[in-house]
Amino acid sequence: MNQDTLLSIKDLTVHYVLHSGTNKAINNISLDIRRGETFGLVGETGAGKTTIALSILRLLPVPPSKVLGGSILFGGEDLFKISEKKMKTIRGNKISMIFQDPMTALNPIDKVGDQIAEGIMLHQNVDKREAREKACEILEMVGIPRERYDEYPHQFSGGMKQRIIIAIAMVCRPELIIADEPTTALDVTIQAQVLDMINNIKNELGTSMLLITHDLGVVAEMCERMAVIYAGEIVECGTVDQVFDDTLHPYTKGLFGSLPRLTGDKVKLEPILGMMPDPANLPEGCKFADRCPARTERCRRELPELREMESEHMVRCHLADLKEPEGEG
Amino acid sequence: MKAFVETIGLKKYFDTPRGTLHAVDNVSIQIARGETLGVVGESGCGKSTLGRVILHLLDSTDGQILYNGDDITHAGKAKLRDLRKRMQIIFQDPFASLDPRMTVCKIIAEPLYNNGMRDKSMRAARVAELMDTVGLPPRFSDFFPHELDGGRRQRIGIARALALNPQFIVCDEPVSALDVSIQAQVINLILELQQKFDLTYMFISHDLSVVKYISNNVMVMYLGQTVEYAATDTLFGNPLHPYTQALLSAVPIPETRRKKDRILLKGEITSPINPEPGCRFVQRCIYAEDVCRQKDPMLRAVAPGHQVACHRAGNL
Repeated sequence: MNQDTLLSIKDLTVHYVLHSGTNKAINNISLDIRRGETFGLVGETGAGKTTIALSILRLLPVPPSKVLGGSILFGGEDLFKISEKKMKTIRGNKISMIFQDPMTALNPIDKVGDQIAEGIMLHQNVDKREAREKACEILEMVGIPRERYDEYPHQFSGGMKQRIIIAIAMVCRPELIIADEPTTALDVTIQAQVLDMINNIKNELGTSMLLITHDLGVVAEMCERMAVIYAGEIVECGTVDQVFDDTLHPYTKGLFGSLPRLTGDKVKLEPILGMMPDPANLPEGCKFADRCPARTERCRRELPELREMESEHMVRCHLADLKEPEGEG
Repeated sequence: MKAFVETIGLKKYFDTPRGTLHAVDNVSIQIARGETLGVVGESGCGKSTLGRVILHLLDSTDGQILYNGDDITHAGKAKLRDLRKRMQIIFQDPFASLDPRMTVCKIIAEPLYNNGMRDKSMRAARVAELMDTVGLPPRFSDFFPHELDGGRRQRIGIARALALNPQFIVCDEPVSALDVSIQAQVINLILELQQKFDLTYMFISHDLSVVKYISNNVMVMYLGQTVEYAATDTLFGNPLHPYTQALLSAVPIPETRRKKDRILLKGEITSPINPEPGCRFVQRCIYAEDVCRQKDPMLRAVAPGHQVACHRAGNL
């Protein structure tokens, strides 16, 4: 493990065992998050992004979820091997989470300040007054006047609620923040404010962040490195520059081709045909083969390995070495 | 330009316990036959209400609605019944806008039955034709909505809207709930259908890139009012209203090495209830002056086909 690696996921496989069959949510996922960086995890609905987030925090519902293998190393310890008691000292304290929906993530009958202070009381040996003071400090950091400590969630707008949720996640000054679509529910001008604020606080506290999103624009803006996940597998990862400017996987290329652009001339959209395979019924070989314009017989038969093409830039595709393999098919 | 769908000074106010909510306030649009007007703005700016008032799903408070030159503002029941065949809507949420207890073919057949097509085999033939038009394989006809993914559900919503051969369709955030790869499929479908059936669209969205891709003209709304209205290329190439500028600069661009000078707006949208006189954007505007607080800015043409409601537009 590299010295500045904060969290290391190795070969993580999580399935959901249901009456109707087994949902292979994520398969053999490996990724590292370094100190201070923002790592982007991109994928569509059902790709397995949130399952990864919940695995790290050990918040997966059991049953139906089942961790079939892999490890998550954090500070030299495997999070799957420590006791629940120990996990409670990490969850919300050293690793915390920002949830997507600001409308449902807050308790409607609790003062927002108390909801922030709860984390401090739980994890730090402080009295009520001190906790209140710390909660007020973090409120100001996220741009809410401390006078609003005693107000309730319904008195805040959506953007303000999301700031409170961020304050709750940040209040114990965690080493890692998992942000699951933190701005998806917000309007674009409010999103810009919130992203800007997250960046400022993150830099100030030196926090690392795992940013889960479907929005490639947000990734370009916020992240240093990224992984693209499809049907429970990483199909491409690398620095943001590598993945954006030297895209290797046909799925990643398809995502870029599906995006209407705000800048430059109008380019016809080239959507990816078809849809993601059912995680209960995954194909043998490459999971993307059915939708891939360049697929070969081998792609259907044999699952491609995640290979390093150049330093850091990895891709899961048999055809990645061929120059210009895609596009026409 | 001869307008196919037009509103003149359209208003929709709601009475609330706290005062009058100005949802749509003096909005005039013109859409030519076969063209698309994109309507953008943030939550609560009145864009969906505007669409619903034009379709008579809500009554207007004041102003006029013209359809093919015909004033339909106060159309009676019989006339509305006829109009509704020609004006349709595609809703945002393909999960909530379909009856969960009806099969795909029943959902698409319902408007046909309600409008007098009582012959079962004729209806079945038309449903099959519509499913083919929107790219739904026939095997799905006996499925229930919950058995299908968002993209396919949205295709059902589109097929239902097309059932009666409409001329004008309000598309209310039709792709917002979909994943990008599916979103692109549906956008292309909407464009193909426009070509094929000479459809006129009002395309409501908060996603500026999608609006840019699909529209001929774009109107930006803020708190019920039009703040800027222009041809798509003009609006995106030379935005003049400070709100449009901020909106465009706030969109994260999926490209590397694009460090832009972002205009970060202060605060959030103010209340549409009993709005103060003066420009409604004034509290968040970096260019605000005294005149902006005192006088309502009128929508004025700064160039042919480019209208802005800002006292200072042009000298910023």
